[in-house]
Amino acid sequence: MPAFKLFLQIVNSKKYMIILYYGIFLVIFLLISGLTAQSAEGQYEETSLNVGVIDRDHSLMSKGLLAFLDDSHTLTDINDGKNAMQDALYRQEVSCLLIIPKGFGLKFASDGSIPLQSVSSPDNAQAGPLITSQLNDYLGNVSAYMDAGSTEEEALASARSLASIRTDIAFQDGQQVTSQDQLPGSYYYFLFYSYISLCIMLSCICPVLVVFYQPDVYRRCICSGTKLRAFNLQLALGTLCFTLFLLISLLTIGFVLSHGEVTFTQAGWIILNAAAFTLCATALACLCGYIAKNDMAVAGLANTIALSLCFLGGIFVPLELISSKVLAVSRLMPTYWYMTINRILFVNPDLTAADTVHLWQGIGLQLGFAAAVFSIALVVSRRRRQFTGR
Amino acid sequence: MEASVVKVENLVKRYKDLLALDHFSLDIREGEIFGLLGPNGSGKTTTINCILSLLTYDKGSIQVFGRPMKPDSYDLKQEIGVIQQNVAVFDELTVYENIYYFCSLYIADKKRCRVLSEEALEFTGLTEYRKFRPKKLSGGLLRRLNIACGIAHKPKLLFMDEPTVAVDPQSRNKILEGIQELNKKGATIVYTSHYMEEVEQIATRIAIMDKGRMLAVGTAEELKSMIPAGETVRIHMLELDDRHLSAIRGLDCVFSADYRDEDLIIQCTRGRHNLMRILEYLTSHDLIFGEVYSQLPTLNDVFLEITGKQLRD
Repeated sequence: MPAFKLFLQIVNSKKYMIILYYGIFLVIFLLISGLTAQSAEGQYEETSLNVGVIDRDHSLMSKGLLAFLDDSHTLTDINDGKNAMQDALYRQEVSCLLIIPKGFGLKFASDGSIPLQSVSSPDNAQAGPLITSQLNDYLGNVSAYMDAGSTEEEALASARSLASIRTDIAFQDGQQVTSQDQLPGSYYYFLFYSYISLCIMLSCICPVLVVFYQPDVYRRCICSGTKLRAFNLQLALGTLCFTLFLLISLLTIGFVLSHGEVTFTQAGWIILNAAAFTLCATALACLCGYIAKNDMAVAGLANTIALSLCFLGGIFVPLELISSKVLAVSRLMPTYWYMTINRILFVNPDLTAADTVHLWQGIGLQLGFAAAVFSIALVVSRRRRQFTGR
Repeated sequence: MEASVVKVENLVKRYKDLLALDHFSLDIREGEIFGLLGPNGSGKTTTINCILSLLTYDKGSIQVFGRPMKPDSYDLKQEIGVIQQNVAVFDELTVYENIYYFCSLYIADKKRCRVLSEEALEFTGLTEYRKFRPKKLSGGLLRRLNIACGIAHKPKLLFMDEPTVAVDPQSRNKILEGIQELNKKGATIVYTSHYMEEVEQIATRIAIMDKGRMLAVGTAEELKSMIPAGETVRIHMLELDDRHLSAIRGLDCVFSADYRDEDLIIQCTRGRHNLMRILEYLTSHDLIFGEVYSQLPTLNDVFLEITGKQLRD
């Protein structure tokens, strides 16, 4: 199989470029993995505020309330005066001020109303509402205990003990991921797989086909004793072998690096999705290989196609930032469906029946795209081969 | 008479409105170096592409080794070698790898393929360049590589389409010697060129074509005999009056004579000692002359005679 061997030999001459792509891809993946891990670590940190307190009541109720706040925030006594309050807020000594008015304890005990006042610093506007919300919850519990027959002292202690209960939140290897902000690094690896596979296919397969289909070289080959069908089959086999190599190597690296972030079911879908997309990339590479006349044209086509498909398909830019009109075009791109499947797999690891339908739909559309491009490529190659040599 | 290797009958090929081959017929016999001579655009390459089934044609028939030539006549293609006008090799491969690859398209046996590739390398004098990439070769060496790729599998019939275009004289001679050597080893060669000297030097039979039509075919001598004039004599003379010019025109050995720009140009008839007779006339009439040049008729003269224009117009 001389043409097959030569195909692989020419691809082999591009090994340094392939290694470079793999290297860049891995560096980007490791950077993104590091960044996502850092952002995930800080997400459940409890907020503690500096709260300035002016207690005008000095009742059991007000002291119990301050004791509750002291469990999770830092309390600072502020002189009861307008200037002192303004200075504390202006100098950002406190995030907010809590004013407990005189008679608060009695009023709460009699009708359950909560006449508390809070003032936030302009730089920390959410602090006041947060404190008020926590106090409302706490006093609601106190009220419930008192209604149940507890004394004021018992109710305050019970509500404080109730508020002290904490729930530990642990990441269980991707199983609890529900928000797009918390997607694991492997999501990005398999997302960017589309760009890298497109780039490598276009940069490696196209130039080889351009070389084989140079009019003079091609003419010499078809003048030979090798059957035209056998010659074309050998080229197709070479393309298929390289496609499989790319698919298997990139997926293997991806699964190894994902450290068990991917379940068995997810892995199956990821392989199917990547295989469908790689077929699209192969079809595009074949089409470009038949159209392009030299390496310069290949480089231009490869960059244009890979970048435009990835931008339109939402690989580089979140779909939320793409306008509805552009989105309509995006839906025609295999990258869009590849990305959509990838997102479903990582956002909803426990797939519903509707998700499964979406996944098959996406894979089917990608395969349809590949078939359409292959057909066009065959027509183009046939037309190109009908040369008009004189 | 040798067996017919290529037989083309009434071939018609059109490129839209352009008639590239106009009822073109050809019969190439075994063991010949057949020269296809014609100006650029005369249809030489189209003829070869039709014979090789690279182009479809509108009318006519083509037979190679006595069998109809079709795009899927792989058994026939196995016996044919092609050297195209443009160098067709892979820049990614070395000289040896290129020869081996094109040889392997014909020969399945790897061992034999290696032996044949080595022989082709040696035959074309590229042994010391075997590990060079084509881009590192000079124009002449590149042409030789192009030839090596076409002959490695030892074809019985070899098509060479202007293989010496843009080649230095040294490489050209080497190529022409190689073609003659291949022919001695038994290959029938179809050689197209618009360099008449080359064709005349190596071809055993020559076909002259123009505008897709066959104008004449035969050996170089047969073609030259088609024109009435023999050698052309040019004599540098500072002056010559009309009386003497008329007298020279009247000589038996003179076909035509003309005096312009201090040169007397005489077309002689086919005969012997023509130059001597003319010089005798000049000396006997005390006419003073300088350099004397004598040139035998060329294929260009034949082409001029048939078409009324120069071969390289």
